Amino acid sequence: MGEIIVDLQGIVKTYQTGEVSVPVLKGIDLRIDAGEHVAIMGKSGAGKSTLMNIVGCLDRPTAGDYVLAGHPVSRLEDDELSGIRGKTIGFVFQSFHLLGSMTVMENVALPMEYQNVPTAQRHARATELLERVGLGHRLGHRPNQLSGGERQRVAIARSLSNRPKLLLADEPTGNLDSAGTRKILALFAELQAESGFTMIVVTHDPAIGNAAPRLVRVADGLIVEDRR
Amino acid sequence: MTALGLILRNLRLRRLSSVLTSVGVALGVMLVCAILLLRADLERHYLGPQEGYSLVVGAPGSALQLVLNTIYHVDQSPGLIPVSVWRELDAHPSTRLAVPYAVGDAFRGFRVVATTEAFFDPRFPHPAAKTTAGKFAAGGPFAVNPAELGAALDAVAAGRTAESENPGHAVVGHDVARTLGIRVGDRIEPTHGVGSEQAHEHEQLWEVVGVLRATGTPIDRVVLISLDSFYRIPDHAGGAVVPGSGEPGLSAVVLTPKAGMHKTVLLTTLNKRPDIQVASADREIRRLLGIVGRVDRLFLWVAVLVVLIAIMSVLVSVYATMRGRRREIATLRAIGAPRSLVFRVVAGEALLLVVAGALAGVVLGHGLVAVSSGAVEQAAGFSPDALGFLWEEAAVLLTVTLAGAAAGAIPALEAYRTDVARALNPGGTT
Ligand SMILES: Nc1ncnc2c1ncn2[C@@H]1O[C@H](COP(=O)(O)OP(=O)(O)OP(=O)(O)O)[C@@H](O)[C@H]1O
Ligand SMILES: [Mg+2]
Repeated sequence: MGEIIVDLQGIVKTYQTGEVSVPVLKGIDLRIDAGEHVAIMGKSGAGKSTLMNIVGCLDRPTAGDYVLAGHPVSRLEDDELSGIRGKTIGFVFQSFHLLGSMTVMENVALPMEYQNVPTAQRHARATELLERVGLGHRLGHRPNQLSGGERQRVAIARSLSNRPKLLLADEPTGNLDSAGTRKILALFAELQAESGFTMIVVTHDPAIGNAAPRLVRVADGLIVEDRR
Repeated sequence: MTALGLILRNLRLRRLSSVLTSVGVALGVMLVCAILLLRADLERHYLGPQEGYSLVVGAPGSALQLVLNTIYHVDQSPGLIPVSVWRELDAHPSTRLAVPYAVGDAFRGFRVVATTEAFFDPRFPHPAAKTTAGKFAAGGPFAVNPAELGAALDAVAAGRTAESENPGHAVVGHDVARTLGIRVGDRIEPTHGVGSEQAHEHEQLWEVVGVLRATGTPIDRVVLISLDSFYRIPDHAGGAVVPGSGEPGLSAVVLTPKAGMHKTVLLTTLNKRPDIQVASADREIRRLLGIVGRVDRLFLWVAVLVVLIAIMSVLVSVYATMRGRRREIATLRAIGAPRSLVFRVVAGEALLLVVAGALAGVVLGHGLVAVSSGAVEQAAGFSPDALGFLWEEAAVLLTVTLAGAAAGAIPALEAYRTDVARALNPGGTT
């Protein structure tokens, strides 16, 4: 057993919509070791994205404790969280979220800028990553000139630019066809084997979920199954 | 990417709307600057030169018209006063200096004033100088020969035109000399009437004996000729007499009273007479500027309103893009950008649009003044200085910048508060 990267204890998330409080996460305990590959499944509205947002420090839990790679983060201020996100976590979203005003290259280099990586190094790293995901010939293109699968590969390259310990992917293949899906999943597997990051993927696809070394099933704000 | 880099990219992405919102600010600031410049020049032009003129005596009518015609050489003379009035005022115990003016002629676009050596007296403040010689850039004054003047006046009174062996003498203002390339020793032939249509040539020639030094006042644009030669211009035989009396006439007498009560004495005693009026140059000009000032303050407020509306439109346009940008802002935040950066990006965008517009507006304002200077000179008798920079303009820039910062802060606060998790998962459950 290696280092614990994600340690969630009694995580509760309640949304307040007007007078009504909506409990979405009702007490999540989850521990993930460094280097693990975890799939999260569950019905729509079960709270998977809410959980991912908390794990990714995009949101704070209403109650409970979260220790990320040894740092207690559940009480940190917003700007401390954004620092941790940039350094430790890579994100891949269903709808890519690339910046349309920038080239592919600039998109991938951008997260390194917030970690004060020098320009030359940023360019070298971005080029290397884009070549690695098979887009070495598209460096100067804009995201809207690429296909969905290509965009997601840019997003993956971007998510890895700061060598994160933790890669979070919320339905990364949700907008792709089956061929695109297969390519992206293969890429994830290769990259993880090379770099050894921890990976959490939310998916609706049972084939993907069942193929993962560990599967966590969420229903109605609680973990109902954790299979290794 | 620094905040500025992101701002420039965003602006480039929405080029047209960025340019249009900036242009709105530019137009408003242009109006404000142009009005400020014109106003400052108007005051400089009208308040500067009138100092030292004190009293202007002329035919009854509009006091303002008399002052404008005599000092600024615009508008028409209200009429003629008998030469005897000048003689009388010259001898008056309250008078320090009496300078006669006979106007109505023009020389190639410049007004001609017939006068005597009193004009070059150091006590007459235009051009200001300690000595008569100090008033000249080249050459020197002319002097009126009393015998020749007397003969010419007698001839006019009798309905004839006097003859003289001697040519008339002329002194030209600095602009006249420069524009027409006139030097001391040249001979010029003035024409009659200010408008070019009714102009026709006199057969007489005037010898230029002096060029006045530059003053920046209307005197730079005047041709002075000796009074006796004025009455020898043939057409003046009928036109230079006071209607009714048939006495030779003058357009005005500029009167410098002795110090103390003498100004009041002259004002009260002379204004009782029905044949003449006395105008206080200072009072008339301040009254004129008071009226003009009310009008241009109104224009200024309208222009300020235009600027305010333009800044509001910057706010609205930046705010309108916020919905579309929330995802982008959340993305920046997710990959590690601090909150302050997204604030700076959005606030900076509004600020940049406003400041760019304001700077362009200042340039355009000066351009507008430059382009309209011809029209202004026609209408108001002075040519505005488009290259001068006023401290008020710096104040306008500063105020507009602050307003732009305030306008940017509103959408920027919205960006600052963006709920990252929610913006990245549009629709709630994805
Ligand atoms: N900001 C919010 N305010 C109020 N309710 C929210 C908010 N975000 C999510 N919810 C609610 O929380 C519940 C869980 O949402 P979540 O997005 O985590 O579901 P999910 O498991 O990711 O679903 P899907 O499979 O459709 O993506 C839903 O009922 C949703 O409406
Ligand atoms: Mg979801």
